[in-house]
Amino acid sequence: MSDAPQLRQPDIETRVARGWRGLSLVWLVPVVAVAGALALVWQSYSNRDIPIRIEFADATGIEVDKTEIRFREVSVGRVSGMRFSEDLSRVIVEAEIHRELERYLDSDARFWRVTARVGPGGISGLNTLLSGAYIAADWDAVEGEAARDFVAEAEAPAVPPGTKGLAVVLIAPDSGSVSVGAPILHKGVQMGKIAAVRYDALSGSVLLTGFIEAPNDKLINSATRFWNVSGAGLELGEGGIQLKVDSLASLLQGGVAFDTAMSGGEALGKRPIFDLYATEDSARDSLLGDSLQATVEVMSSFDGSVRGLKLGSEVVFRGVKVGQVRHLSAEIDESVEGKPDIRMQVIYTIEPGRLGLHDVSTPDDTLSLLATMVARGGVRAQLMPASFFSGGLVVQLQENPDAPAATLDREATPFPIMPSLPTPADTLAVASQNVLDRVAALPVEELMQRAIETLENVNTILADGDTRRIPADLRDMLGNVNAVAGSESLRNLPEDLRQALASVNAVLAHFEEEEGAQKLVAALEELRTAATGISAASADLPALVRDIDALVAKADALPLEQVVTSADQVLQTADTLLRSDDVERVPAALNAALAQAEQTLVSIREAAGSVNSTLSTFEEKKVAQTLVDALGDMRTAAANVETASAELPQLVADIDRLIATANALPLADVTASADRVLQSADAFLRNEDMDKVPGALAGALEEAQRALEELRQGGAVENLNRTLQTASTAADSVALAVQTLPDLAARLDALADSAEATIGAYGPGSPVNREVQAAIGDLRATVRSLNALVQAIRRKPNSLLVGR
Amino acid sequence: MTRAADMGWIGCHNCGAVHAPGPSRCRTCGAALYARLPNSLQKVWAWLLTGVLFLIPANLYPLLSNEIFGHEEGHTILEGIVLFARSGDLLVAGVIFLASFVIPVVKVAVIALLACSVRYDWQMNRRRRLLLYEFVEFIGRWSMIDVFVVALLTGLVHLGAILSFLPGLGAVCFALSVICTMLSAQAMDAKLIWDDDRDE
Repeated sequence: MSDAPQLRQPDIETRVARGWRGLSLVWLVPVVAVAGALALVWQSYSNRDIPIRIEFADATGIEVDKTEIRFREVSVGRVSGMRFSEDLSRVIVEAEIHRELERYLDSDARFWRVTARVGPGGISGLNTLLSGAYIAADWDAVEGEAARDFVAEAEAPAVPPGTKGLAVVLIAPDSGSVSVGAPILHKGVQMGKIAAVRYDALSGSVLLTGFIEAPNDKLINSATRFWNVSGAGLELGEGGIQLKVDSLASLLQGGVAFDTAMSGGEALGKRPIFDLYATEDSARDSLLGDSLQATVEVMSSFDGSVRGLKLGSEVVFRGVKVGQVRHLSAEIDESVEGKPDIRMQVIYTIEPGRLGLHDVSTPDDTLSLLATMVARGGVRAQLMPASFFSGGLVVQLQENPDAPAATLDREATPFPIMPSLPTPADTLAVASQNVLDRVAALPVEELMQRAIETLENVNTILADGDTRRIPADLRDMLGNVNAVAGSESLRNLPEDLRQALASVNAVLAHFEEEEGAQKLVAALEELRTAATGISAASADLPALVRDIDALVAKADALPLEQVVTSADQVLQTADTLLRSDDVERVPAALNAALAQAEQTLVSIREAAGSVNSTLSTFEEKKVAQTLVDALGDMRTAAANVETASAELPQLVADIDRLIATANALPLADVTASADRVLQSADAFLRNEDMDKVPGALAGALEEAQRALEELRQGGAVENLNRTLQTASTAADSVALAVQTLPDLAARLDALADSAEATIGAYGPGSPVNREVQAAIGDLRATVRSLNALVQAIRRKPNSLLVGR
Repeated sequence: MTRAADMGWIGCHNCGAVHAPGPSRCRTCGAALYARLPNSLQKVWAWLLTGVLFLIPANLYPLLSNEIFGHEEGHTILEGIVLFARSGDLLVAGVIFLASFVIPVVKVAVIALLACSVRYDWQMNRRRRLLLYEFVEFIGRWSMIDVFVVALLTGLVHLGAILSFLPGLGAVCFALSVICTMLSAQAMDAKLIWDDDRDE
């Protein structure tokens, strides 16, 4: 374009400005971008994470830049690197924790790895199967001195971080199959978990860390005891067989139970330490020994075997457990030349609290006490059988004042030595042997010999001819009795009796005809009048009674005991007498007499006829008439009594005087005389002649026997028979008379009423009144008896004769 | 070589209509008429600088994070390329390397070169420079392919806890960077290439 036309200079407005004015606003964009970037850089710098280092045994599941660190399942950081420790034994994981948690990162922060875990307590950490393991962290909200290097926990804590409660340390000789996560039970309710199980090489025991969750941690105090409830237990002890099975969970992972059976426990600080007992029983046993600090261990040596003694065997004082065996060993005593003496050493504890001593606070005090017991009470250790059933032994602190002098060797090492007594021979085996020996020593053979002899004697007696004859004699005697009962004359007896009663009836009828009853009534009226007189006279009776009282008092004072003693002697003499041979002969004589009586009864039947006839005679001779007359006389007599009763006061006065005189009498002398009489009687009975009396009696009975025989032969019975016939006639008369008797009774009743009214005037409660009322009671009883008599006679007229 | 400006004519930057001197507004589209865009180079440099700034975190921060079974894993652009290359997908690795790394860098370089050549009147073939400019204009939008892939993946693949994709901070920075460089390229007035004092 060489021939370029003249270009019109374009008036193009380029608006290209120079300097600051030309600066475009678009430059703000990169400025803002840079400012933003710088702000971001600053922010990320100020919020940069805190590097920490955590030591692990290995790095299983941990990946750099991936593995998170979580606090309460919230990611708070990430693993940034891993390296080995200097000695290559550990892996040091470098991680970064968010800055806002920096201030809590002090030395008590804990880290542990969380992976999927299947245990007896369940499955945990399942989410880590997909996402990979993570590192869990736990720290409290207390700001402490900053720490950046940590050692990871080997196991996840069984108790979730941040749980409130109380951690306790349980010391046990072995874990007893209690594993981490095992429940801690109280009355069967889970109160916490075992958080850690650790073997402590220093003490050779297992330390279990348990955690009791709040608020149950309040249950724990110094009186709390823990024991193992793992699995199933079968214990064959002194108390028999015990099978214990707790919850199924405790079968799998073990378990620990606790109880606070005793009150008065004190609050505990952080992480208190307890013993873990093997059984509930031993735990409860230990509750008594609360003054453990004063418990002492002592040692005793025993000759011979300690078989049956085991660790934990009881130490018994007067039957109460005061301690237990801790150790058994043998000791060679070389003090004897050439013959080393092997003795068994038993080390055991003694708890003063079980001896009832609570003010003992130090082991020295306990030892002082034991030394005193040994020196003064003669206390010695001795092996004794624990019970009859088991072969176990216990150490018994035996009080034996006769034991040879000994002392408690307090200076001995390692333990003070308690003097011992040799094991007595009456341990179980020996005891049973003794029993057998005694049984064997019983005179069994002699006893059997004697029994045989006795039986032989009995046999001889039974085989004796006389013994065999006894039944025959008895049969003969019964035959005789039978013959008597069946005899002709005895059968006729009722008929004769009936006739006799008819006669009695007749007599009574006659009695009525002669108005005997009316006369009786009249006589009673007289008697009533007399009673009125008596009542007047009785005014003086109280004085009389007082005198009688005095008399009785005097009689009371008499030496009656002496008399009684004499009477006793008499009776003893009589006893001696009765034991004499002659008396024994009496029964034989009686037997013979009975035989005679048998024959006599036959005769009596005949005599009944005679009685009959006698009664007839009785009727003929107007006996009833005579009775009526007699009643008339009686009436007259009653009238006389009435007259006499007017003079009764005078009479009472006389009696009063008489009693006064009697009071004055030397009754003591009389009693003495009676005593003498009894003594004489005693002497009399002791007389040799008296010994002959039984013989004489026997002779007399024989005589009676003969007499009865004569009676039978002499026709006496026939006479009796006739007499009864007469009596029958008389009874008829009596029956008639009795019909009027009710009237008589009514009158007597009226008489008693008036007498009662009279006596009532003397005022209730006076001695006289009581006496008189008693008299009236007797009178009424008489009337009732009379009534009963009448009734009885009406019902059974023949009772007059038979006497019933 | 005669420029339209030499003739006093002004081409509309918006619709390309040529106007005789006089009007200040395009008769067809109404846009303001400039013989040359004002402050063109300043805008170019400002946007370019911003784009470069964003390019740095875009390559340092992960472009895309995938969360598989709760396990989150993110990769930057270059890590992703290495990953593909190592697993044998060299083609894919090459494409991504080209689109996500080479092109943005080259684009920035080209714009910078053009801006410098205009500013300092470097003696370069104007036609070649124009070609370069057109190339940058064309290729620039393809850089967004990465961002689209990230957007599609995060939008479409949501399998809950098993697998999910999350856009990383790198993707945002990358997108911003691309936008900034595109604005930078647009801010460049290609007519300036011809405004040389000296003819060839």
